[in-house]
Amino acid sequence: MAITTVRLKATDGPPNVEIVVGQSQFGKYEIQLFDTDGRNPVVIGSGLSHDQLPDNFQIDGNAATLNQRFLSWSANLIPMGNERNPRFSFTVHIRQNGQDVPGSPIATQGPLPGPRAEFGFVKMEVV
Amino acid sequence: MTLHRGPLTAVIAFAVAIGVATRAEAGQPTAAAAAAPAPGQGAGPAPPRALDKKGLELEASKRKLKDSDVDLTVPESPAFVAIGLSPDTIIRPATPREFATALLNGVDRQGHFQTGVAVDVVPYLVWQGSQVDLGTYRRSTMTQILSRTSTSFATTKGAGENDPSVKLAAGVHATLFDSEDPRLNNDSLLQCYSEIPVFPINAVPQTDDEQRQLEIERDKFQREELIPRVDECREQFRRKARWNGTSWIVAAATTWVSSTGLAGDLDSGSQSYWSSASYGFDGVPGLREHAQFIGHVRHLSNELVVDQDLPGGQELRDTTFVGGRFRAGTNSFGLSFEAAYLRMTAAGRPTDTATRLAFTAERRLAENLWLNISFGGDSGADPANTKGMSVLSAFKYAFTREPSLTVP
Repeated sequence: MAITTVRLKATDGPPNVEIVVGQSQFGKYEIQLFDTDGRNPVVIGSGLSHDQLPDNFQIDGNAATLNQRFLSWSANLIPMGNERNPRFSFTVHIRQNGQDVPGSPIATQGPLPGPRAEFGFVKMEVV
Repeated sequence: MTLHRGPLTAVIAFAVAIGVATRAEAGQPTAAAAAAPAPGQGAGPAPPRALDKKGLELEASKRKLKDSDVDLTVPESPAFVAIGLSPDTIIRPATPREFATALLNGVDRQGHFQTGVAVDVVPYLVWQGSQVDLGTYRRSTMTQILSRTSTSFATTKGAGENDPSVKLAAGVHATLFDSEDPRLNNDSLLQCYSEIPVFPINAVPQTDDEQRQLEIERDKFQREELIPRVDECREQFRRKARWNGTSWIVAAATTWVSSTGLAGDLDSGSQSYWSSASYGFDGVPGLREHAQFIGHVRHLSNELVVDQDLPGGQELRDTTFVGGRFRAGTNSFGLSFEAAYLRMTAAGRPTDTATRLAFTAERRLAENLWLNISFGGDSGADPANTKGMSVLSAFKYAFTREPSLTVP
């Protein structure tokens, strides 16, 4: 699995990460920020797809300090309905000034016959 | 547990009232019956001939309601039902691209419809499903309806080997309300799911080997932790759907016929409408777990019926069916009351109506021994019958190993 690179602008302010668990399935997720070596994770956000809390999180600080750092997400996806062919959709938006940055969104979708542990990474490049 | 005698008595009284009030309508042609055949039904039916008394009786005898399937369900894929198709393979597109491919495969480059196509799709989820999270679904009634509205398309070949005609159908099915929707009213289950930790990621994989190792660990987590804990939650908290939920479902379908098989030669055909509403006595102590009423109506218009016994061998027919069923019971006792009304109109002959009442009760006498008693009657579909229904036209009892009613 190749790690996607997203490009941030140093002058565009702190980026925002939004998670969308689609197809009305249950989702619990956690977002982590790593250093440039891909170590020392720090949880910057977590949430549930069914509550009323917003599912977007701002990465505080100067965007320039995020250069070459990694972002990860890990989620439990569980089918909720009784459809014949349940599906999942998991989308990560990384935005600056309300707009998806180049490389975003990162979307995954497919059948969801049973519980699924979904994860992924992006590398942030600041220009 | 015992049944409430009050409502039961009322139901039986209601049944008798319906039977007495029912009248056959032989000899009263309707406006629909007098209407000219709609275009698009092939060559159209031959001019109707007058039926003599014997002919009327022959026709009527075919329309006894008791011979019909008193089916109160709404078809999930109405297009397939509208053209009498039971497809082995149904294409269920999950993405806009798959949907477009399915449509393109339905017509060849010369504009001929391909036969045997059966597509069933939920358009809202195909185009907007990635934006619909569970919280939005639970809060928005319109989102629930759109997420449970499917459309179906189907094509089938004409009857004869050398018949180039193609019949097409399009239908829509919508669940407007469902008290047993598993995404709603399942807070304990959601809370249990919420307590399951996510797969921990301690480092970003830098090599392909590290990546593969992480995926192996993920698969192990999924297999040994996530799935077992989800199963535990379901075992402990999943709200068992009531057999007698409250719901409202509607469906409609329309057909077209292309006598040449070309997309440019389409003529309209029949239209079908279905609606079923069930009431599970929500919030009514004593009945909430044990009783349900289902009301159903369906109408089929411009149906081309081919039958060598019909005048001219075929006719255009409109059919309306209204039915209701009350079921109640416990694990040792059950009862069912069913009423149905069927009305058929066709040009050139009297309107046919038929009614049916049926009552069934059963009692478990011992393990694997049930006493089943039923009685009921049919009326109509008989030109001589203008006196309403004889309620006790049939009575039977039997001892069976299994209950015949589907109440718990």
